[in-house]
Amino acid sequence: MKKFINDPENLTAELLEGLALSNSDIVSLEDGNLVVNKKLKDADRVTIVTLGGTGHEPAISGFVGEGMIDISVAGNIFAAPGPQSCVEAIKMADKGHGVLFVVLNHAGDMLTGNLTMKQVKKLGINVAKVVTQEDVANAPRSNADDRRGLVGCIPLYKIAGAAAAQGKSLEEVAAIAQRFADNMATIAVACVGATHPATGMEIAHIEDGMMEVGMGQHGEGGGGSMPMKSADETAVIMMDALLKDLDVKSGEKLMVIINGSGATTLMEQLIVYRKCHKYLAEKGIEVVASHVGELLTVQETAGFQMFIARMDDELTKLWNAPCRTPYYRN
Amino acid sequence: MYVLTLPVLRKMLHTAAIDLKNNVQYLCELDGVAGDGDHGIAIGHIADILRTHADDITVATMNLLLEGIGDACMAVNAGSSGPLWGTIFAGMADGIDDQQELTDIEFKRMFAQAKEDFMDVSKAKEGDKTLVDAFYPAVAAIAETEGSLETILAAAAEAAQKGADATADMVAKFGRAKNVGERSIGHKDPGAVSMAIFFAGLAKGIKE
Repeated sequence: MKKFINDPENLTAELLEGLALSNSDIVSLEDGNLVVNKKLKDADRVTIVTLGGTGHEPAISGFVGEGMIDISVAGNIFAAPGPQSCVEAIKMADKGHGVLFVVLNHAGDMLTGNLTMKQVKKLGINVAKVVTQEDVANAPRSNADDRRGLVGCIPLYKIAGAAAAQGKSLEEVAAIAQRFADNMATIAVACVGATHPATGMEIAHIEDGMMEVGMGQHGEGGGGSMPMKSADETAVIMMDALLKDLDVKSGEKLMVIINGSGATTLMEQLIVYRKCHKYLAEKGIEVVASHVGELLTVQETAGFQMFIARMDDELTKLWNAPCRTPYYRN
Repeated sequence: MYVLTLPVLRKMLHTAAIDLKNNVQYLCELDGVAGDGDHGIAIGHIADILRTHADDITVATMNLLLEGIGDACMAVNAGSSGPLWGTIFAGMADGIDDQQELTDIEFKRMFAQAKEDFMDVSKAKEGDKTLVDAFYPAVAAIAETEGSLETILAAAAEAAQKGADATADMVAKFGRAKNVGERSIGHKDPGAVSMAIFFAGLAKGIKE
């Protein structure tokens, strides 16, 4: 393993420190691995809390700030935080309008999410939980509880954050977030696995000349292994899977995100995006929102996640609303 | 009725903590097969908690000791193991009154309650290739075995070990490992293995 790190035990603490120091006008780092929006103290609206493991930078703590996440509770590398820190975060975040609690569908995150909900209910805090579970590769839509949450959480934070900034009620913010979540789909591909930065262990092994479609967030398998293909061929295989899953028809409007997994260049991501855009145009599908770049990575994994979401005018407006976070600004 | 005293419970937890700590690397390697190789890291944190709390003689009752361990595990920010183990210790605390010694009946109730609380937060069943495959058989052995606490815990440790061994032939249906499906066959579940180490440590500790 060749990584510029210090003691592997301190990876999370040191990366969060770096994030807070380099964005001291936007976020602060609080006890319990909480990354907090500096504007939270003056907020008079619904607030947004989320949790997740580290090692996926800029996700998720890089999206704390105005118009997105108010508090992100960081766990350890690829590992969820415990419920204690989440309960503290929700208590800190609640400004009397309730808290939207976004949880990605991974075993540890969900367990912590459920234990947290139990405790905050006891405390009488008004919390609505939205789960992101949009990986089309590991379970059919009818079995959504088994679907992993991938990059879709990031645009969801953006949309929910914008809805909260407009002063909508918790019920409204949660309904918008849920509508977006219900209409999104992601598929991942990888061609070179990564190593776990703390253990040095290979977290996914992909044979030379092969790629794996349907790779999970941490390099877990689950999809199809196939010989390496060109950008255009790969883009079409993946887009077809997404369109089929969401049953997208000609005339519909989509958001498209190509999210680099860590070692795939922006050059490659842009080449893939270009094919997606043109392929959709041929089908009479309009792209009304898009992003290409690294939002949620898996160390030095070579590959990307392709994300689509069915958009309407309200969702598009919320996506385009201003925001200011360390790694996404409008 | 056999009686478990607070100093003996401390020794049991202390011994289990040392055995868990000694297996951190092994548990990471085991987790590297189907997961991301960090189970040992979480168990290392839990072992530290167990040892610190077990060695803290200012804690006056079993209930407070177990509750303290449960709370500390809940605050471990390193994946599912913290909340799951935290639920078990909080459940053990739930199952007893604020007391300094336990009869064998109270001892059995303590573990039965831990299982009940655990079922409340996890839908995993035996055969799903999780820590449940070691934990539930151990609790069942505690409920069914008669004799001294040494005998009961030895039976629990044996049942947990058998359960953990059996996970090698299972396909993961829960947690992150389920995503690798059949690839998980042939390797024991790290969560079940660490749970078996825990019960073996308790059984060893009570004899010392």
